[in-house]
Amino acid sequence: MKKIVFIEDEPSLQKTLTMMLKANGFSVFSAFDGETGINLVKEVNPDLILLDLILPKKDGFKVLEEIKEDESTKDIPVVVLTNLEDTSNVEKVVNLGAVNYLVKANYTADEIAQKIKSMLL
Amino acid sequence: MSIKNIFSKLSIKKECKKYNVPLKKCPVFLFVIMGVVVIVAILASYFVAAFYGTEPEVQALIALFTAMITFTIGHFIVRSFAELAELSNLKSKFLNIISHELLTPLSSMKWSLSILNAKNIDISKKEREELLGMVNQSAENMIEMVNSLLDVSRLETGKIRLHFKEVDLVDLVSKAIKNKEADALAKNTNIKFYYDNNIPRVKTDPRRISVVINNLIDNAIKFSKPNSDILVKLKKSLHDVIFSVEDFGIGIPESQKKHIYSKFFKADNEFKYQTKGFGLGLFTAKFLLDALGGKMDFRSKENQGSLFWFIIPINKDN
Repeated sequence: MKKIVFIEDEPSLQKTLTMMLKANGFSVFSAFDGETGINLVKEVNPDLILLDLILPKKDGFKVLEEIKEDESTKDIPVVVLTNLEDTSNVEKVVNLGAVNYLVKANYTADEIAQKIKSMLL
Repeated sequence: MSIKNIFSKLSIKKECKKYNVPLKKCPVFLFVIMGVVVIVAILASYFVAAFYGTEPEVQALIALFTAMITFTIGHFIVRSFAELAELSNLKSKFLNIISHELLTPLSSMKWSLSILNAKNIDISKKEREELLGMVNQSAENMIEMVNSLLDVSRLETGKIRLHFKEVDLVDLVSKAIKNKEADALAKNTNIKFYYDNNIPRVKTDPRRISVVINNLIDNAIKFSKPNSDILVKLKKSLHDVIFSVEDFGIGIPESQKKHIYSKFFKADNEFKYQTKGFGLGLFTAKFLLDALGGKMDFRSKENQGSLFWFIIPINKDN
């Protein structure tokens, strides 16, 4: 079973997307802030990371930077999942090494799950 | 100010980036241009006066007069552009914050409904109820957000009408605390309420003073550290009642205290703790309190907590 670490601070979004991802055969590990997210990634060594940008304790940009600087986690694909639509953010995260940038409000939970499926399976 | 800071401030391009406007509309750039114009105008007027053989004192007076006129005109031009740039910045900030804050509950609704509609997922009755509950809560959150924005708009355009009546603040504060109990519990914070025995009824607008009290208690809960207390107090002085809320949370950085009542302001350390909200709570509270004839102030130390208080006169002449 492919493993996903989902770093998102909004509980309802965590719950709904986790439900959808599990229904699509993924094993999901949740973190509600940036610091916990980084620790969880190192502990779980997932196949993919779903990362929000506005997070307490450590924002998504810093999390992405740290993940990509760490030898043990730098090759894990990171998909940024956010409601920030600023193009400067897209450039920033792509330069930091994210493989995709999805705006939450533009997709249903199922569409996001299918995108991840096509990336991993 | 360090030498590095001084040189940083001398970098026009860097300073102009903060305003998010093109260089030709940037107040810092325009200030430099106006400076050059003033200098050129002074020199030109001096040389013209000298060319026509006027007395040195007259030349100096003409140069001084020219300097005054051009400087004054330049000042007003630069100030207008500075105000426009700030408005433009505020508008961008406003749109960014609003769109992000409203898109979050909308996304929650969209995702919840997509699961409820999905044919390939088995959902238990409990999960169905949870998802419907999330849709409902998201709708409530959005209504609250829109109302808070409308309130700010009404405050600023003076379309808010106050209705003064005698209010029992002990009762009002007790109800406010009861409403926030669930939020406080979720953060493992404990709200303790202390009040003097002889708190008199005050003449104020009960709905608006409730907003002030709720906003202050809300902030205390938001920025408290888990397993800490929040102290809410009501005290009587000779002519006033003093309400205070104290938390032992993240506090406000010294450099940001001057912005604390600004619209959409969120302190830098706040994001390390929580990400929600427009940053309108204190702006609204202060605005309303001023309108009610009260005074608000605060004391805060980063990583130690904050104390916010307001004073409301016992007898308000309307």
